[in-house]
Amino acid sequence: MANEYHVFDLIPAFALGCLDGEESQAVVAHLASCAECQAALLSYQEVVDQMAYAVPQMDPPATVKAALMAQIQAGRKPGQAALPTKSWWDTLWGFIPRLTPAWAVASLAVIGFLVISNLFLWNQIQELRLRQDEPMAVVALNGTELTPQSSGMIVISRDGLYGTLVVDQLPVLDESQQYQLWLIKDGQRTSGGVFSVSDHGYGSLEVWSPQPLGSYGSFGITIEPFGGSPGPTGDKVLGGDL
Amino acid sequence: MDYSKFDDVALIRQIALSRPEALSELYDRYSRLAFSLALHIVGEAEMAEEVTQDVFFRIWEKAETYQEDQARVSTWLTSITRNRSIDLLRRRKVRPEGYSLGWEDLQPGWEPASEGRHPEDLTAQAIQTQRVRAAVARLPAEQQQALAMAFFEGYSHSEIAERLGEPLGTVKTRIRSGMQKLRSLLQEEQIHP
Repeated sequence: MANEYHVFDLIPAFALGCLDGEESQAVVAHLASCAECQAALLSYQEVVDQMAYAVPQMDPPATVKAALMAQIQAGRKPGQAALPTKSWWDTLWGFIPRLTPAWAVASLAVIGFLVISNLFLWNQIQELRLRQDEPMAVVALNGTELTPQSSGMIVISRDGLYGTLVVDQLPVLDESQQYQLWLIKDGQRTSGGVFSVSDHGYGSLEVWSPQPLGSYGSFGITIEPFGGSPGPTGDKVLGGDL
Repeated sequence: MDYSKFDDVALIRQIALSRPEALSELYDRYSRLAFSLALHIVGEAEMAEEVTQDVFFRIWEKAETYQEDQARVSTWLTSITRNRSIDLLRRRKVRPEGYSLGWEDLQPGWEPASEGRHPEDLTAQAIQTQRVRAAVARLPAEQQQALAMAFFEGYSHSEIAERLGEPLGTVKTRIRSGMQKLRSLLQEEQIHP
């Protein structure tokens, strides 16, 4: 239900971003519950969009894109992966000057720290040795009632960090749809990537995951809109457990 | 995966899934627009490059917050570009002497050459640019001036009124009337991409 009083007069300036504080807040509050003013805003946003095309158009130097891609490779998204942290030695070295007045206490702390660090490193070495002895894991994916003839597999590297999906005899989808791989852990589904298949129903995908693939218990593939969905919405066509 | 077949919204979804190739494709589509707008606002190539990189990195970081129903991807990107450019400009408090931030220097004519782009795309873009300029040129001069101060320099109603020495109500009317007429002109000429 639209509000009794609209803010049509303020929408053009709001789209342009030149409303002063109170008026801007009033428009934001009104827009939250008024579809008519939301539609008006969209039309004026397009005008603002078009205004950008009035300036002389020219490409940035290629170095900008190279720098951007290097930047995103270096700094991943917050929460996606741990950022590089200081080494224990850097941390220890940084502490020493501040602890100088209480040198005796500091010495004990340093010794304790070194002992703990050594134990930690020893554990890591043992884990790496164990991992090197593990074979690559293969997860078989079986078709569902919808696709009984289809099959697939995910090959997971020894360290559990990388995987490749291969599928066979999946139906060819129309252009508006793609298959999406889901990595399942504790009931949570994380996208492992989207893919299409050849005319023969064959397809492959380099699997991406925010956590080691070996930590996921199950895998599933569903039909989703082209480009993928935040969560599964379509029919399941393949599935399997690690 | 061929990301060139993805529409803008699908690309943003892929970027939210941390696909660098999707960001690369979005960059190819809009870096020209972002860089050109930033360059016009800040007036210096090096700063415009900085803004362009910053805009796309911000999209990389914030893709999951994009809301399709609130604005088109190009609108979102243009808005970030304007805000970052104006912020940078105000923070550094510099602008090349004599640099224009109005519409008057945007007359149809010379456009820099562009390597590696499809001639048809460039032609379509050139036509779009000229139509927008023609529409702006049909506005009264005082409306053009008010819109330019808001769009390129990020001034609010009251800031524009103060700088022009005009009553606040007059400035509000100029902005509103200018935008309404511009919308009408652009819709008439069907210049949407």
